[in-house]
Amino acid sequence: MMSFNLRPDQVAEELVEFNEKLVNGLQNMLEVGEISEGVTEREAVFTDDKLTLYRYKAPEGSRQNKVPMLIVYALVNRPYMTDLQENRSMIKGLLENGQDVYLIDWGYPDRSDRFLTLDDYINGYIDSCVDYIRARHGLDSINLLGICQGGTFSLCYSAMHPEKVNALVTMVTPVDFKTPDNMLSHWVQQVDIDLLVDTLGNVSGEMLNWTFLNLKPYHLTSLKYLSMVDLMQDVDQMKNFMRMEKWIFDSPDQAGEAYRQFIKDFFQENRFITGGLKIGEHDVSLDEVRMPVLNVYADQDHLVPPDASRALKYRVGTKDYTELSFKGGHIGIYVSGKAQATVPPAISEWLDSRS
Amino acid sequence: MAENNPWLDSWMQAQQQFLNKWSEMASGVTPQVSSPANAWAEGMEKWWKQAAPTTPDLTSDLYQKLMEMGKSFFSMAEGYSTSSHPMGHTHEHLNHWFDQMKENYRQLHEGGAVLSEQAKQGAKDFMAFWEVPMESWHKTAHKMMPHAIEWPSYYGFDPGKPEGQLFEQMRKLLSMPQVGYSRESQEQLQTLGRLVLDYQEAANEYNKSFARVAQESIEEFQKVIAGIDKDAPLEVNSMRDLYTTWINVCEDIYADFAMSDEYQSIYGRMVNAFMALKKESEALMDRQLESLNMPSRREVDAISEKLQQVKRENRSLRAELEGIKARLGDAARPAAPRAAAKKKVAKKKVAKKAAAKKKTTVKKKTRSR
Repeated sequence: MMSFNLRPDQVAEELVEFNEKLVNGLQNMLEVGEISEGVTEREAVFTDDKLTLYRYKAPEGSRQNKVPMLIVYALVNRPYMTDLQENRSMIKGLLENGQDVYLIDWGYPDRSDRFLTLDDYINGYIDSCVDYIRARHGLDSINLLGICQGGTFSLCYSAMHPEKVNALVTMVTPVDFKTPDNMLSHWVQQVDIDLLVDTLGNVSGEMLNWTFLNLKPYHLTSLKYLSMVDLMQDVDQMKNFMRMEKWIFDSPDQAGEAYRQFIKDFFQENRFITGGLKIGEHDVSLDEVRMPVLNVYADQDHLVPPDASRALKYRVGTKDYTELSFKGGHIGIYVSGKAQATVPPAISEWLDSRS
Repeated sequence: MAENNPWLDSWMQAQQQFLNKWSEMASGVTPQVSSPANAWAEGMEKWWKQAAPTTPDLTSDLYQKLMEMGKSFFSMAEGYSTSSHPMGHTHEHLNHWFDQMKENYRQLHEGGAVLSEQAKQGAKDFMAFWEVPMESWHKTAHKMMPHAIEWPSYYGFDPGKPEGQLFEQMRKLLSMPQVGYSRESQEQLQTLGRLVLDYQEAANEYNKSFARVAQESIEEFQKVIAGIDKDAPLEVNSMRDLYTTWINVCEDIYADFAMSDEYQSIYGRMVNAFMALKKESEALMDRQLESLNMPSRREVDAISEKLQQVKRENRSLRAELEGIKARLGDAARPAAPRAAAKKKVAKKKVAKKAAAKKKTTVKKKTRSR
């Protein structure tokens, strides 16, 4: 039953109140200053071109899983989403739950990186990092945790180098790129990717921002900022909002050749599902992923729909497959309060029993 | 008019309070505004111009987004308050406003009766976020081009109108065969011209589809507010509730549109047309640079590609070298430790097997923030 009650004096009063909040909030905004990101102490242990491999410092005296974990983030956006602020850090949660955490920061590709391929990223950079960690710890294999596109890369890597991966965790990772609710995939089907990459070389972060913004343009450009007026009353909340805002629009350019192959092979050809995926000289099949797999997905994910992730269950070669569903969205799974309390402990428990 | 209209009275009072507030903020400088309708936006702009030079980029961006949201929100409140039946009931009041908004927006796109500047601005502000996908595409595309290209107006394009006929005339002109000494360069320019037209037509088509869907969103909003959709119980107790409902309706309508075959087609066509234009434009630029004996993008890319190939070969050779070193190291080691190492590996494999479980699906129900 619809209830509608808007009196003229009430509307005017509401607007005056809104305006006062906005005025106070803008004063706060001017005092926010520069926004920092990344809170957990870490050390750069290895570099390769623009890539930096970080190892995060565990809390003093904490127990550590003897098999370290390598986080493979997506090429899109920056990995500090996993360590955004003191009370919103998946990395901190993993450390506190006993994991020895390494993370790949891909850096910002420039035009000299245009010809980097998926083979360079996966069999070059990821493999170098895995080998570095294996050598440092004297282990045959380590644990991998792939996030979003980084999860897709981790699946490819695990299929090509199963002997180097002890256990694999995929988070909000697309596997079936053509589920009916996949908006990104729907849009790209008639785009001439060869023409696009031949023309642009690298694909700009700004163009990606445009694409992602268009997934929910009216919530992301209007309603979000209306809600922000409430947050603006508190400087700390305002800083948190702006830190997230900074991350959303901090989009590195994409190396052209890797982008071409990723869009064509995954979004257009859906080769995890249809077969025929080739990375460099390797034929890649999910059947070859035989190590334990934990697949974590968000059930309200508008970027990677749950079905796109859950498709892994029926394709992966391992007999030790577990799913973990999180009630939230693509970003909430890293930063929400509930995620902090549930996701890192669940991942750690699963890994500890397999390492 | 205000004497008979309590909605308008309240609106005017609110505007006065805004002016006072902005005036306080701007150190006593009262913003000079053109009309009560724009008081909020103009007051805010004037104040920001004083404060902005000292703010970092991120803050300025955020301010712009707040400003756009605010214009849309206040425009809705203003439209709702000032277009009312003087003493009408809420529902009549809303229907009157919806009809007026639909008509203004229709006229804005299709021409017809001349709208006042205030009505035009009101319709534009109210519907502004419907233009976000096109506006942001235009900004993105503009930065990618070495020279500006004309962006077709979001409002009022119709192939049947003079500008549409002009397109056809230009296309014919650009298809004329060229002869003589400069034939080749003329043909290159003709090709570029045709690609400009292709892109503008594709962008027009994209714009027009959005404009149509935006109008549908007003109709849907009207239905929701009228309570036609009984499955979605609705409470509107504030202007903010009303605005949130409006955004939700727009998002739903947009989501259906964005997943349609039509959208896939117009999106693909626009992006492809832009890329074809940019590619041809850059080829022309490369030819000019080469004629000036300067390195072109094509040449720099060729060098980058060769460099990447060399890096790949280096990586492969390094891996091969490490492999040889490892094998030599293994061969030099005494036999006993190797056997011990093998045992250790075997033990680890047994432990792993024991830990392995059958395929399980664990769904942990958790709540999002």
